[in-house]
Amino acid sequence: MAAVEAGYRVRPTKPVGKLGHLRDEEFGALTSPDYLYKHQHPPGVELPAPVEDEPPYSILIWTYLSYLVLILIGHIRDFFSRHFKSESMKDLGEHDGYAPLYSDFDSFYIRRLQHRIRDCFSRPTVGVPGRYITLINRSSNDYNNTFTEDGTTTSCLNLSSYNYLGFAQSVGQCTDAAEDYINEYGISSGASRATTGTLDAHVLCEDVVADFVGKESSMLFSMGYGTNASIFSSLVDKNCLVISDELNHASIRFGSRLSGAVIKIFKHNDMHDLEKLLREQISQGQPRTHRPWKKILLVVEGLYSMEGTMTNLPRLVELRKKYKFYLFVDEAHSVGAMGPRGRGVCDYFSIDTSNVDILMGTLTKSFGATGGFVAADKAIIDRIRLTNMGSNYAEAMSPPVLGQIFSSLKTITGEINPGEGDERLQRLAFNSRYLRLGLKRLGFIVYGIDDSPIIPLLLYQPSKMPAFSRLMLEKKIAVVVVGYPATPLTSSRVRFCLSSSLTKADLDELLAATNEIGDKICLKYGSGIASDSIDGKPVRWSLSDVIANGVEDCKKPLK
Amino acid sequence: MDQSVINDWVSYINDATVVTGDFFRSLPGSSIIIRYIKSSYQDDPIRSIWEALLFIFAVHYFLASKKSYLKKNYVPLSEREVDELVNEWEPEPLVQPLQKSEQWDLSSIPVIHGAAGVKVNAVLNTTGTTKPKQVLNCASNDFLSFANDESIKAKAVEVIRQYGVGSCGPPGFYGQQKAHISFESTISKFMGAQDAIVYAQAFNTGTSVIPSFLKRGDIVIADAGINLSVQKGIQMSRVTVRWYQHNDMKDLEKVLEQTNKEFRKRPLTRRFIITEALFENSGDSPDLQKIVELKYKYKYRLMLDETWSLGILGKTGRGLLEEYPLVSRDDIEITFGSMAHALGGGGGYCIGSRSVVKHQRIGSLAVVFSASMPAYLAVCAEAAIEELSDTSSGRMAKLHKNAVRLNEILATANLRSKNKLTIISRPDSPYILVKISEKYVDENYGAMEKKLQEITDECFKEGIMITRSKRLQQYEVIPIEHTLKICASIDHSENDLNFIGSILFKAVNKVLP
Repeated sequence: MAAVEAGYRVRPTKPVGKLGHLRDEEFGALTSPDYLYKHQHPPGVELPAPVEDEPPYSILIWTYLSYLVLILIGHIRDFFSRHFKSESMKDLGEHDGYAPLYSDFDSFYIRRLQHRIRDCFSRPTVGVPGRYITLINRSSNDYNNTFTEDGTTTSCLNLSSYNYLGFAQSVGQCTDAAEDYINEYGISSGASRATTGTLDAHVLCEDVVADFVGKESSMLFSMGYGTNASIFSSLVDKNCLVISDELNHASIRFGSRLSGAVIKIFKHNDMHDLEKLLREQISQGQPRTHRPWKKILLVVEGLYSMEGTMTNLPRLVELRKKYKFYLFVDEAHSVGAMGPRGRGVCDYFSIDTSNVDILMGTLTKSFGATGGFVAADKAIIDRIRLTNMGSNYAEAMSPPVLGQIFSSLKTITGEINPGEGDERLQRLAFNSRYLRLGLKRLGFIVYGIDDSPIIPLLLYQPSKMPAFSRLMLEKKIAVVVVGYPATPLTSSRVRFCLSSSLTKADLDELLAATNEIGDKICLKYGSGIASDSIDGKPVRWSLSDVIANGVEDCKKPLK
Repeated sequence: MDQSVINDWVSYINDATVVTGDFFRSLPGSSIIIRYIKSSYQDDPIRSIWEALLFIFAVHYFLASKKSYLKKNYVPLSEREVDELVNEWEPEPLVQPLQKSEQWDLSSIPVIHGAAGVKVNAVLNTTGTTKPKQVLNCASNDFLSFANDESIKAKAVEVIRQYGVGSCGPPGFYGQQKAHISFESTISKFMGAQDAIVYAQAFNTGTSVIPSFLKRGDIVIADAGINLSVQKGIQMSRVTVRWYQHNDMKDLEKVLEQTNKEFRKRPLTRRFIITEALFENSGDSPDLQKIVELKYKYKYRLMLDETWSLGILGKTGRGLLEEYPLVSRDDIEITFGSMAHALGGGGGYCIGSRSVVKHQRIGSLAVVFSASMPAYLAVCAEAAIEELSDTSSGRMAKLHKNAVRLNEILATANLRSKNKLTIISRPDSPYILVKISEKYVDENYGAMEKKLQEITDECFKEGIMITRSKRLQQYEVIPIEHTLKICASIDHSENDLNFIGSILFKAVNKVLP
């Protein structure tokens, strides 16, 4: 009864896994050993491009029309607001010889489009972002200008937090370790790492991280974004070339721009385009002077957070041998989440880590901590320690975070509570494949590779973002919807972030909810090319068939 | 060529012209266009040629891709030549491995075993031992001793038992937690602003706040002694920047006047003065009253970096504004700072009007694209601020007393050792920066730093831990000063302060005979 009162709808009868000691609302117990899967890419094989399904042209035309209408109405509203000197336009005009604080052109999209669906973003939460997340209820009486909270909360199934291995917990060995570290080390070490802020715990934790990812040495930073923002300045200068995937994260773009290096972009995951660019750049050298580049740094992400695609590491390693560039892999989303041992993309592709020069990652996403790391050969890390803004100027990582990192990594390697780490990894792998297959069979268009724990489901029209998000919230499921400018204009999407903490019953609940909403707001655009169709017509399995066959089928090679 | 082939061509072209002409005439409204063209060109054949040329140019311009324009400097090479060049190309190593002569710099990073309180067990490799030694910590930014405060630690434990450690997402995607919202309202009230926003790291607050408001074409007048975070923020925003001499109000006025004159005829863009409340690089403060006067006079907005001043300056730790009763928070459009310094936690904040904060929630990179800071850090910082608001706690009074006392002790000892050092920070600040006096100055960057490290090592051997400021000259826009950083803490007793003075100058006298 307690569970019903607390709002947790699905409760397993008898847990079979290693994690029965955790709180059910933070980490659901495993109900059958069938719900485990170990993923691995066949060694030495290039990553095939994922099959991309496309919607009918009419959908794209409607999407453009929707934006056109929104923009027109926005301009009409701007016209009248300006005409009647509305309060909302006060910041946008010149006054007393001061230019506006931000331009009305730049802010148009936010004011007139994003503002309409502001309730779908920045929903305040309280408590652990685990299997369930507690949202603070809020409502707006002034068209999303302000929100009022009535003090009540709703517990929602969490498909939105970066909690791949379910380490966001308030109990268990990791939280215990964080508590011990608070008691032993306090909240802060009181200075930057290069001055007097280095604790023995930092040194220990860096060794553990280096061992985990399979590099000689590593370095920790107190912010993941900040790691990328400062690392490039230590590696490249204006006589160097940075080649960057077009979908790389904003922090990479910020950091590489800050370094002053020349930046060239290649098409997302397009190895032909990359090779063409490499040949051109190496043969042409620096612009104007034609002197050879001092060095070329290729920057890719392991797993792309908006697409669910992975970098084609086997091919990159071949190219690296031929073209002698340095390879930088941002494992923000892949470390912990990918690979049979959770060590990231190299583990997933069975590639030796010596083929990657710099492994960077964040500790927020898989390990329930915060901050970032850079791992490389000792000689490289030693130099970075002396020349990095993050180590000389920014605050050191806070001790309880170190406790969380240390204990979660040791759990994955099996040194703490053997078996738990494997269960977490294999549940995540199963959950990812099961949900993806289910969504495809129901007829939705999803992006990304089969093993990706990030599953973007395409919504296309802008109005479907708030519709989907609000309907899901009514069903007590928290999801993230993303639109322009984070994605191309026509491919607004909802992004499911999976977690080991979700049970199969949770996923079935999610499939049922998505199926119902998909029918209601018309989202099933799948043509069938990305999934197995029985009669050549678009795939539309019934929910019961999807659930009945999913567990078996998701372990086979997916189509 | 065969006559019949030519005839074929001629008749083909003829037919095509007739068909196109018929087709064009069959279009509705085509007769009007034909009439217009006929009438407008009959007197002026030159004009027809000009217009035809213009038309061809326009078509060429639109069809020519951006790439081919950029490839002006492109050298066409055959595949074989490219292969050869690829084979020949040898890149430099990713980073140069440390030379033997640089190893000492890496060894000069002390490692603290256990908590970083006022007494620490630390290893400093440059002193030649690898055993932890108990020393007095005189280099911690945790001036008010919040990082190891028992009640704050208990609060942190309580929070991780409620929230876990990480927030698992950016603020936009369910990463904005009650703890953050509560902290934001507390700090904005404490500092006297309308609203506040938290950042996950202090250093990346400035680098992100500045580009979120300032764009190419905007104008920044910045103090030439500003810290690196602000310098990088200015660099990333691509603004037009003018520097004024550090804390020189006359020069500021001159620069303002010149800049306004220079840009008088240009369209009005955002104009900001950026300065720091307590300078990280020099430990002094600007004349805020004067800056506010100038800002109104020349119609500039003001951005103030309070990283080092929150919890240090002012009777209750509210920063530089507390020293200027005539200046209100509303006179400063944007203020940002840190919770990682005197508040003993982590992260940064930015305060200002509601619209300033609202803009950053979707317009600032380090907010949108970074996971929000852990909930426990927000709660701890909030607890620290509540303690500062409670005047009966006496922390600020104790800090000010110790700061003034340590400055006195150092000044007296310095005088006794014939002013070998110069204290450049303000005399009432617990954040003390000293540099080596003129006659010992070495032009060589490495040699200066090494000398300072020798002083640090000597101090460490005798039982106090201070540090070089360790600024990176390759990133700083302005030539750096080589300084030692000495921090007073509320946990230092009178004996400790005297001890610091005597040990420091013993070391100085040994290194600089």
